[in-house]
Amino acid sequence: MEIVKVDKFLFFFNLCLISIHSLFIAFLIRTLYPIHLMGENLFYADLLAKPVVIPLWLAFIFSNINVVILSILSQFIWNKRQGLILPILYIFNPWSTYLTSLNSFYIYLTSLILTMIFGLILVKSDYRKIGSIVFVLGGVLLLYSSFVMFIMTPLIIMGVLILKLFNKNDIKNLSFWIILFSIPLFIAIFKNPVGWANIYRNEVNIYNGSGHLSDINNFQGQAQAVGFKFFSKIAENRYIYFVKYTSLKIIKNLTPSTYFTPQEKLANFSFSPPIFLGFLLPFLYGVYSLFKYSPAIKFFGVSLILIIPSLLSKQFVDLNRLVIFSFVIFYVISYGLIRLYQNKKLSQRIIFLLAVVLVIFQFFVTFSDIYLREYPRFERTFGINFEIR
Amino acid sequence: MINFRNIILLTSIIILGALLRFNNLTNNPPSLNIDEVAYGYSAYSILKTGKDENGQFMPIAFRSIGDYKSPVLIYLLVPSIALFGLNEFGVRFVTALFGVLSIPLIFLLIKTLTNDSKASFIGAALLAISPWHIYYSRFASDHLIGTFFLLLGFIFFYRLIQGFKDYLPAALFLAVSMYSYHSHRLFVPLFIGSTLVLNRKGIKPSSIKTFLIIIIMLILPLIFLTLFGPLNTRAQMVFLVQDIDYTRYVILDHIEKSGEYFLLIFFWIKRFLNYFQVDFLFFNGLNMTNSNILGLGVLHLFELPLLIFGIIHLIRKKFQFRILIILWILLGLIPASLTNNEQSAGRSLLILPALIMVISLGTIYFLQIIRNLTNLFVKTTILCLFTFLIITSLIHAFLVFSVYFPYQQGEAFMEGTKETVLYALENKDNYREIVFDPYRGIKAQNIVSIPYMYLLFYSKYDPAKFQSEKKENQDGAFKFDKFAIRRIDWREDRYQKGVLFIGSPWSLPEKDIKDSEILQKIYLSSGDLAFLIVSPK
Repeated sequence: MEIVKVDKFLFFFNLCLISIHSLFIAFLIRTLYPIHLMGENLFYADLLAKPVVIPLWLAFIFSNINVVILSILSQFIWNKRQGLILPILYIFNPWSTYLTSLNSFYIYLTSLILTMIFGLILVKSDYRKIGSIVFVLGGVLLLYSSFVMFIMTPLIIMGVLILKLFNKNDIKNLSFWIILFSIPLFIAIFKNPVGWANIYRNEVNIYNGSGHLSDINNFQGQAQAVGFKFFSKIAENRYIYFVKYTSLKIIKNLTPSTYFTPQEKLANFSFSPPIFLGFLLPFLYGVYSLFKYSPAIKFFGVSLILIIPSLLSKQFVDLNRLVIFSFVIFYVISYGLIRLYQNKKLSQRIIFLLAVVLVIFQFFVTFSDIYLREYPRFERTFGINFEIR
Repeated sequence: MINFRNIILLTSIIILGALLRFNNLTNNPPSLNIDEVAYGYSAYSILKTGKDENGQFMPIAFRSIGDYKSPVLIYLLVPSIALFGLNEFGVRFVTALFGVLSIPLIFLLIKTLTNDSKASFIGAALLAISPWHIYYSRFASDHLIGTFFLLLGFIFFYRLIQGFKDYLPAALFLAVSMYSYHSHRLFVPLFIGSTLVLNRKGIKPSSIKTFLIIIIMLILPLIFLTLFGPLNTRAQMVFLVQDIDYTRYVILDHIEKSGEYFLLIFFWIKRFLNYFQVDFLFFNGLNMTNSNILGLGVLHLFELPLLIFGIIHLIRKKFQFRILIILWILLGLIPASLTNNEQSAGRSLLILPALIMVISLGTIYFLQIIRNLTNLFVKTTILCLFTFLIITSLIHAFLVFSVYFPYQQGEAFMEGTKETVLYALENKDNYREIVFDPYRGIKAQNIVSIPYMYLLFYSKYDPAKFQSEKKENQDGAFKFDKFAIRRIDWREDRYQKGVLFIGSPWSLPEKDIKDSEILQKIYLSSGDLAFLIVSPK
């Protein structure tokens, strides 16, 4: 089968990527150990009251699996040379490397999402059988692994159906198999409604803890005291407040500075940006080009569903949860870089060169900063409690 | 040809803008803040003696309350104070007036740049109801004065680029804008330089040479003061390296020297991009309330879709000055992002006219799209939703300005200080000394007020006397006349008979003071106790 017949160059290329990625992770573990993110239980195991947490070595393996899947996916999307960019972006930017070294559960979920996408592309490329198995495997594991993914997976499939990205019947058949294999999960949910409710409360914190209702009451009280109760009821009721709050959260999750600056801190303390700033211009150019030229804009639209876990979090932006969306950003950057490189205009060549120079510069600054200051920075933020919640 | 309908429309917009700026001007913001009092007294001092309170004759940089203030607002306040007196209205009148006058200016600017009357009217209307502009028009602020002169200067500067011989007013007003506010000193040269480089083919070199010679001559004293004088100190004080977030969190108080300046570059870029954050722009950029979501951004929430349409319009439609609008926004944020604030609405106010232009163009584009929609249901739904968004945004802004802001932010405007000072002045003769504690705050004693400035202001203290008077500055106390500004230690001060003490409940704990010793309690609009006036018996 052709998919297995990967040429020698790509094999060694992937091997190199895995080695470099592992080196970076090892460097970060050495620098940051014993700092780690609080482990998250697998959804199904949690329902059965037998908590299972993904260990660090497994997160490490999944992160490397992500590199390989991204490498294969990008070979499908672009030609051989251009296809090298996407996995390179994945390993050279601090985001996934950082979270892997801190044992993020969402690195594992990213692998499953990528597996599903890989399955779909195989199905579309006429490797129906193996593609179906890969897709169903990814989907089922995703449902069993995380409550948030249990909500999101149907949404992603619906999005794919609505936007007619793949053959309707294929998706229906695959969904059927996923549902069939998920019957034990449904039974577990049915049998343990209290556990389900607890998991829901732990995972979904969108309106928790910020005193929203008390804010509204205070404001309405102040307006009422001076005779503006009516106006206040129109403009400051709980519905408008929640619409505003949710909109703010959504927009913040889609704001470039979230991804390209340390505005939102990685693991709540780091000064490393998730993605190097130099990639901002290729990203913006990529978005522009996607809107203007590419049919991939529909995929981009569906992929926005992947920001939902971050939206459901207590924080405005949760970079840990948002890492499942990272490959979409890397895809857009790759697309932008490719288009910039292909373009013969001097201005775009300059932007390309500027991006490369800035990235190289920031790469060294960031890694030296991690080495010199990240651990003391953590201590200053969290003291000696090494588990980040 | 004069179109009377247009004149009536523009006049109506200006009247609306004037109402929003002048209505209840003396009571909202609820009190004069420290800078306003300092501006007012410096202007009063100039009016009476030709010198500032430190005895400097007609200075270009006013040393005042530990800072160097720009001169333009202070000199503009002189006639206002001569006319209305040294009071709240006299101090706030000038900025409110310049705020109103900015409305026809933005109309002219958009007309000059786009030759589109509709966009010009929309721009004028948006500036008239802009929360950013109204907020800074309602108290003495050099940000707004600087932006006014910037607008005026740019109108002539663009005309200069278009071939008119307006080099003198262009140079004059741009130079005044540079004297008006610190951000403009960096922005104006950057912007002029970039504009001239980008438009080098279409400009007459002789006009530009004259323009450049005049403006350089005009700003020579400023350059000197900035490079070698007190303004250099001010620049160093507010520069990004002094930022608490940077020193404590990024470089960890110089824990490891290497690479600090490289980190500074990325820290600066982060700060720069912060100004594009949606919460600053649309939710709480003005810091007028305690809540982030129920606050007020520098733009109304309904302007968000219009801004997006405007950006799309700027990308798609090629008109002569679009690059200048983009440059205005990008370069305009450089000075603000180089200072030690997370986001400063005041320091970035100078980009407001450019944003208004983008939003105006976006509005035109949005209306075109709506007009071209054939599906009546979709058209009606979009219009209804958008109208609802406008109405709720405006009601919310109205409530923030008229109710929540004075209620929640009184302390930021030193509410209560005036009452304490008036009490002290009324009862001055009954005490041998009056002690003010400069530290105040409801949640903690974290605000340093400058009571002596309020004393000078509300007593209309003779500037000549103050300039020549011996002022003691010892043991952390500042003394003049009968007044002493120092920390109160009630454990020791409680035994000082014949002295009046004015301080927050932190320094004058109610539980340790007899009821008969408490002469007055001063509350904020929010009902919190701000000050106690006490005399030991």
